[in-house]
Amino acid sequence: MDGGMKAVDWPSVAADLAPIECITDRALVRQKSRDFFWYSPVLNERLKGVRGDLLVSPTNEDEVVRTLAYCHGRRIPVTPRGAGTGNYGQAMPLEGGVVLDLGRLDRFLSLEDGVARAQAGLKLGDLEAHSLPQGWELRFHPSTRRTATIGGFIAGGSGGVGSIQFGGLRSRGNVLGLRVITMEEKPRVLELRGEEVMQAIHAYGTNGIITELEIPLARTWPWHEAIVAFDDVGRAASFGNTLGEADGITKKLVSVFDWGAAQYFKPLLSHLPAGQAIALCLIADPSREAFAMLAYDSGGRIVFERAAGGDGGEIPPLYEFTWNHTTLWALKADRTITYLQCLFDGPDYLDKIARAVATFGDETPMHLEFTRVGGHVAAFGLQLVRFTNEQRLYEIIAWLEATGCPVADPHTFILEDGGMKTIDEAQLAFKRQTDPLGLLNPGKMRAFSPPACPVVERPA
Amino acid sequence: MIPAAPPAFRAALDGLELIDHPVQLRLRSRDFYWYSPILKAELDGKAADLIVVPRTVDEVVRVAAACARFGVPLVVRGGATGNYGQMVPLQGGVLLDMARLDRTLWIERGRGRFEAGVRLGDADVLCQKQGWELRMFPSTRRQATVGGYVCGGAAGVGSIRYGQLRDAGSVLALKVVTCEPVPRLIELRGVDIGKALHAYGTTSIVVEVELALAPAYPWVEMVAAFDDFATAAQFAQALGESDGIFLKLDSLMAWPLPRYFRGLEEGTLPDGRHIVMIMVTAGNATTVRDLVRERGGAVTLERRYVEDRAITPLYEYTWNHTTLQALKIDKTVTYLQTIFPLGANVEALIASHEMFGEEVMAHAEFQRRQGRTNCSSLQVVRYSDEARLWEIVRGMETLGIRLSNPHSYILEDKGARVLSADLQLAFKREADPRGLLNPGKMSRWTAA
Repeated sequence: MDGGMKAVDWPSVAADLAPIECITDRALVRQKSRDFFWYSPVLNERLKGVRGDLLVSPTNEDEVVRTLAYCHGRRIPVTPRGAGTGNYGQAMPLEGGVVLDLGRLDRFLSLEDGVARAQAGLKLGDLEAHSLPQGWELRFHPSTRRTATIGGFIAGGSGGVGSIQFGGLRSRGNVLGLRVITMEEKPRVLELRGEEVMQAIHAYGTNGIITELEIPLARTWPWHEAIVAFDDVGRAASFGNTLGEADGITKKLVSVFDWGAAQYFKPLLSHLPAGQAIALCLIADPSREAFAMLAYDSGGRIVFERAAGGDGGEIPPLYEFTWNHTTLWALKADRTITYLQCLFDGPDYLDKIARAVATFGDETPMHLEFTRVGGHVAAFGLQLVRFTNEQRLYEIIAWLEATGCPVADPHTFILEDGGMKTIDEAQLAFKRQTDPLGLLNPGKMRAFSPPACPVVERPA
Repeated sequence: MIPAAPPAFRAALDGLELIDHPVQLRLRSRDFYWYSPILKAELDGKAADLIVVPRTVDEVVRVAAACARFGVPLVVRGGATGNYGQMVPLQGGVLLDMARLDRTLWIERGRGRFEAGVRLGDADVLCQKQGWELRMFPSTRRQATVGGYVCGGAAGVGSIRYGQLRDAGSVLALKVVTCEPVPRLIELRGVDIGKALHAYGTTSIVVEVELALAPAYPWVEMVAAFDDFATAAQFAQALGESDGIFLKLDSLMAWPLPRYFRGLEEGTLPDGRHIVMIMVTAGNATTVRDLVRERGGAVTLERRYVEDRAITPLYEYTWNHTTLQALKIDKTVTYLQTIFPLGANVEALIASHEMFGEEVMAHAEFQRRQGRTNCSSLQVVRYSDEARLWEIVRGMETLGIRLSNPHSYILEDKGARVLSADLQLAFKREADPRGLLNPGKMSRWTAA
């Protein structure tokens, strides 16, 4: 696929949009058309040629509105972009057109009673730079905290470091409001409140451009980092569950890895006993003692600890080995590796994990992120996969599905085939109102069939 | 007992604050056991022979040594806000009133260390000044002491987030004094905390308590009213299971319980409606409002929680204050205390409400247990006689609801904590070899 729309004179579009910053340079636009889709060999094949035609970087909401009105008039597709840290091509313009870089909409607007309001392009780390001095932090964040934007996280993410306390983006109460611009002749500015926000969360920007958002924060704790080693991944998983369910121990991260996955954590290797499974944990300082006791009782051995605010040395924050950073560490060492995403849930979920480990062994080195889902503790499996071919990959997926572990396929850019599993009727209905012509991030929401709408020539 | 004790016993206490006025002895030997007509009959008239008010741990050690040497029973008193006669001296002797052992030792990095007699409300306010707060407290927060809570309490306001007092990580350390001729000071940490936690002071004298704290949040108090009990119960459960809603209180009260509540704003407690009392962090107040509306309820009160002696906080209508509010209006009611089956608690709650109607007014406190939302219940009962009370209990049992008997002062009748019962019995053998601490409360000791 060689992306791009050939019928449009892009320099003239840029001129029409001036003074909004527009870039037509092919290399730069291509770079800004990509995310981390290449974690998946399947997506890599399909998306590697995708690129937009014009990079538009608005600095305020008026410029977003102007860009959308203009593109609507000329039937030019628009794909919004945060920092491009997604893994499924969420921000990739399948049909070319405008890549709307929201990175300059990066103002921190307010913090009151623990509720933060920010523009979508504010980086998560920068948001916390504002809130931490006032004693507040993000309830949860992806492992890409240092680079990802808050809008990108809400439009393309699901949960992360902290989900063991607060659940995910779809858990009621974690996103209070979204300001969304519609893709219409006269774009409307909508303020979604309460459950209305679910219409646009994790919709990849297919049904409106998120410009501002409001989220409740959590009070900060001094977080203590620890690595616990276990003889096998079964024990480590059992520990993860017990720790997750220990109401008296405050934690922000409980991640478990088979040695098959842990062996790629290069900066940690001098601390990791070869062949052992590990748990990476973030524990509130006052919970350290109870945590250490629980680790010991579970047959674990603490092999690394770093006090809250302690000297980093050569070792990055432990959360940068978790969630989808795990796959990145593996890929740095072995380009043939990819990964899966599934949910181990239900009263027998530890047993399901054990069966997956027994069935696939080192073909899918186990990686678990313990999290709260629907009021209880479960684990996301982000197993690494030693990739052979697509057919085998889908055999593994079929086995997991048949075993009662729903898979959020990370090898598709289609919204419904990923985490959502089914058509989200509310999101679809919302898209019909906000983007009737189907110009926003086209090709991602399968249920939506846009009317045919050829590009409109520039009026003379 | 004192009359039998030689003058040397009094001499050993020389210089300590002693009280032996009969009115004081009677008044200070009571807790709120009179919620139970059964306990009232059993405990009325029980009193200590001498009250000692220590100001330092050294003074506690002197009292313990004297009691051990002279064989005098010793019972520790905190705020005396218990409901099962936890601190009522069954065999007279010394009542050790901890009210003056009330220094806050330190608060830092999410931990606080307090002498046993510090009032929970005072401790909480001190923590708040440094950005922290207690993880949980009983509804008697303003009167109860830190030591009394860990010796006689189990959970409370905050348990919907932080679970039970006995959960690892809640209580970080207890410093205890043994009852021996030469008393030892022992620091209990980790699993050893179980030796003295919720032991009614039968195994040792708790003089210092180290608690894990929580970062302080701005709280909003809310009341939601529902036409239908099942809807209210399902709402309370759904609220507790909402991982993205940060709660401190989630209490369900069936009509006509709200009829007993005085002092709330007009319109808060609509006639005939079942209510849920909520404390939620300010940032999630709108989320709760939306959930109430979606579930067919109405928010009848929403106000910012403030520390103000002039305002009755919402939590003073919850936990065992619910029973107290009812008793203030109707002396004939009493209550039950029950544990619900995990995963089927709402069904059991609804079934029990249907089984007993207004004879047993449902009151459930939602809380985290093993990482999940469950409830325990403090049902208010229109009391007829003891036989009928046990009949009700048997009816509850058919629904999978277990009694944690509030009509007994026996330690082992509360829940089933066999592990810590063994630990406590073993510790009592070494720390109180003559069995002088709160005698008559630990049935395994009495039997041995």
